[in-house]
Amino acid sequence: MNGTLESLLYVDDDADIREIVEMSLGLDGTLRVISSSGGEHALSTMRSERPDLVVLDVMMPGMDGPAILGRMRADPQLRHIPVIFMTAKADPKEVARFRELTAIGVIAKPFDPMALGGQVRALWNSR
Amino acid sequence: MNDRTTEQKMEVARARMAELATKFLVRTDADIAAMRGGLGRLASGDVNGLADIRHLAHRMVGTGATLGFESLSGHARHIEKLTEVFAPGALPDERWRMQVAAEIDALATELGSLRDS
Repeated sequence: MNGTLESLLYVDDDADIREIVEMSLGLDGTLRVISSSGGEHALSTMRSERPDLVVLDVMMPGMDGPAILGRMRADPQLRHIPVIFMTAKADPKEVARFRELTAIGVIAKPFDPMALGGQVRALWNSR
Repeated sequence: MNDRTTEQKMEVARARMAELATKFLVRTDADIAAMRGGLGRLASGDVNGLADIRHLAHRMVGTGATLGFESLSGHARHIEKLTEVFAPGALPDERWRMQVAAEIDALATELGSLRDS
């Protein structure tokens, strides 16, 4: 356990999914949720917003989720931020690969928008 | 003032999800046309068509199922799997293009029946 989850950055190239995630995670009113379409914008948003947690879509054009995580871990300002991946390919082999990359967990797509907040908090609390 | 209860927020979220679902169906129509365009580009030797089809299918898999369109998502998953047979930059043969064209047709048929229902 490492503190309270107060802010989260969600990164996905799909604007509709970003909106659904922002709505879902904002339902209980206790979490500040920001989002980014990915790439360098995601990294600069992390530096300016300093979120407690980053949730990354895996497959994005240009810089994919694992590539963004690699950039974060090489950046002294960002290397400490926990990361969760969201993916449609959440098979055990892929989950193990993402954990090796230092992700604290994986959430499978499709997700239940009404249950997403609970999934994120469970992974945060299980670190 | 922002003093909505969680239940009120959930109602707003459900209403917005319904709007996004309608928007998704419209976008899927455009994405199907774009997939067919990608197949056409592959037929004329443009290797970028493969990545375009893969990206469109992948997006449809995740977004479709999240919005409750499991059948569309399933067809898109078949298409995505077909694209994964080849490495990025490959130029699939005509047999593969026919397989993908058939899957795209099935996707379009499913979209049509969802719109009619």
